[in-house]
This record gives sequence, structure tokens and C-alpha cells, in this order.
Amino acid sequence: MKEDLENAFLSTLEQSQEKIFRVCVSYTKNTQDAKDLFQEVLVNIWKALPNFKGDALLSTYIYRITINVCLRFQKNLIKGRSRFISANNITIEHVESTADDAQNEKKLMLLRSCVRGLNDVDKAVITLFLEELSYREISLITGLKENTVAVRIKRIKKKLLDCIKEKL
Amino acid sequence: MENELRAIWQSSPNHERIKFKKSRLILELQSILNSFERTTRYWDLIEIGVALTMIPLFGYQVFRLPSFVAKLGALLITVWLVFVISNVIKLKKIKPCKEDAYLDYLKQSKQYLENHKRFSDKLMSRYVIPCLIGVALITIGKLDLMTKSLQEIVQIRLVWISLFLFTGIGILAYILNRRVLNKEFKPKLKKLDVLLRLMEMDQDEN
Repeated sequence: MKEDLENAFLSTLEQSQEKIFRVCVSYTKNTQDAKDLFQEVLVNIWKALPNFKGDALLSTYIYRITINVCLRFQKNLIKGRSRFISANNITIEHVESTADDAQNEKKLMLLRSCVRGLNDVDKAVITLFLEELSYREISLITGLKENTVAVRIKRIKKKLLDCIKEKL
Repeated sequence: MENELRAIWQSSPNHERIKFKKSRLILELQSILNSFERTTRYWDLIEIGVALTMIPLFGYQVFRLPSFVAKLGALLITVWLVFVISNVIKLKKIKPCKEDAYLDYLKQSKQYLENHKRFSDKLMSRYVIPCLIGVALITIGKLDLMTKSLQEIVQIRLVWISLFLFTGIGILAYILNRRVLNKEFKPKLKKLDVLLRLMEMDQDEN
């Protein structure tokens, strides 16, 4: 693997690791699974890196692999091997929360649970949208047309709001 | 609404921070182990292929060559080739299992690398020397050197060429082997040790 590509990968990964983790969270039931899945995603990205041809942004490539691994995980295809990479190497740091934080956390948990309730494609589209990826990037990652992405996002946002209102 | 959703979604880093603790090391090591496995598989196939081709050739020489010493040389090489194949198969049997827990996988990978390192350590005595002795015996038999006096032997040009060639091959094999040991095995084993230590420390803490 070329050293410059490796460095670009590591720096992109360090910038987007939290985003990747958030995507993993929406495809798993709990944080432990999310940590396992996150590690699985990292290994898969690393393995796929030599095949990166530079026809898309490295971050787009990374997200595409993330979504693919998450979907495979969702379909139990890699669940059996999730222990392959133990999550021991990832720690989630808990910081003392203030009242505001607690309120935000409640909203976040609510949003996460609503996102988890979506189907696979909607989940991929909305998590990428919430990570502020453009319609074009989402379209490149998911293989959907840009127009379809726009329509789906509009529909999913409504679904999410209804879900949040219902759970509040 | 859109911005609010995004703000809520992205608020997670405020209370959940992922530490990228050993991931980099894990990824580096995974890539190293994968490439080592690929290279080993490639060389194993070549070794087995070459050995399988050479066995009938040298086996045939055992019957064809008139000189007893040359026959002995051909037999030695045939037996040695069988030994090479059995060694490769033995080494291939003990492979790290990716389905196991990561710590176990690392331990198995270490064992796998150490086995290959041990094999390389003994390359001179197990690979190069028996092969060179076999070829030397065939040369001695072919040139009928046993029946010649020392003065006659030193005058044969082919004897000198063979002597230099065999010594050269032996030295080259030794140098290449040391290089592989120092550049391939030692750094990989060192990285594996560091990661194993970190993982075991984590396990103890948990």
C-alpha cells in the first residue's frame, strides 16, 4: 500500500471516526455491538484501501464501505465474527453531564431509536444526511439517484418527526 | 427542523468520545499479517510445485546414473524434496483462526510467525546444506572423482566451477535468509508483541 494513501486514509479516518461510529450506532442495538461493528468497519476499510482508485473522495469511499459493512452486520452476516476484533481497544468516555446535556441526551436517544426503526436504505440515507453529506455524495454511496435521495430524505424527516412526537 | 435534527444527531461526541487507542496498531498489524499470509501462500505453492516436479526427475536419476555416489546424491535430493513438501504442509496446518477472539487470534498469529521464523532459522541446515551435498555427490559421481587422484581432480575446471558455485549459492542463501529474518520476522513479531501486551493489559483492567 502506498504510504501517502495510507497517511491520507489515517487522517481521513481520524477526522471521520466519530461520524462512522454514529452510523454504526444506528445499525446496532447497543453500544457494545456498535463498538464491535465500528472495529469491523475499520478493518474492512483498511482491507479495501488498496482497491481505492481515486474516482471518488476518500471519505465517500470510506462511508460506502461503512454502510456495506453495517448492512451485512444488520443481516447477521458478520455477527458471528464480531468477536474477531474485540472492542477492548475502543473506549467510550463518559463525561459528567449537566442538566442541558441530560436534556440533549434524551433527545439524542429518542432520535437514535427512531432512526433504528427505519428500514436499511432509509437508515443509510438519513444517517449520511445527518452527517451533512451532500445529496450527490449520498447518491454515490448508496447507488440511489440524487432525486430519489432528495425525495427519500423529505419523507424520512417527516417519519422521524412523527416518531419523535409519538415517543415524547 | 433540519438543523435541529443534525445538531441532536451530532451532539453525541459531547458525551461519547471514541478513543482511537490501539486501532491504528491493529490496522497496521492486520495489513502486515494479511500480506505475510498472501506471500507465504504464494511461496508455499511455488515450493510444492517445484518439489513435485523435481521428485520424479531425481527419482529417475537414482536408477539412470551409473555411479553409486551419483545415485546416492540423487536419492538424497529426492528424499530431501519429500521432506521439503512435508515441512511446507506441516507449517500450513497451523494457521491463525480469524473466527476466534481477537486476543487468541493474535496469539495464534504470533505462534504462526514464530514457526516460520524457526523454519527460516534452520534454513541452512535443513534446506541449503542437504541440497548442496546431494548436488555435490552427483557431480562427484558424474565426473568419477572417486577414482582420481587429488592432482588430477584439481586440474579439472568443472570441479572448481562447481566448488565456487556451491559456495556462492550457500553464502547467498545465508545472506538472504538473515535479511528475511531481520527485515520480515523481527519487526512483525515486535509489533505483535506490543499489541498483545496492550490487549492483555486491557483485559486485566477489565
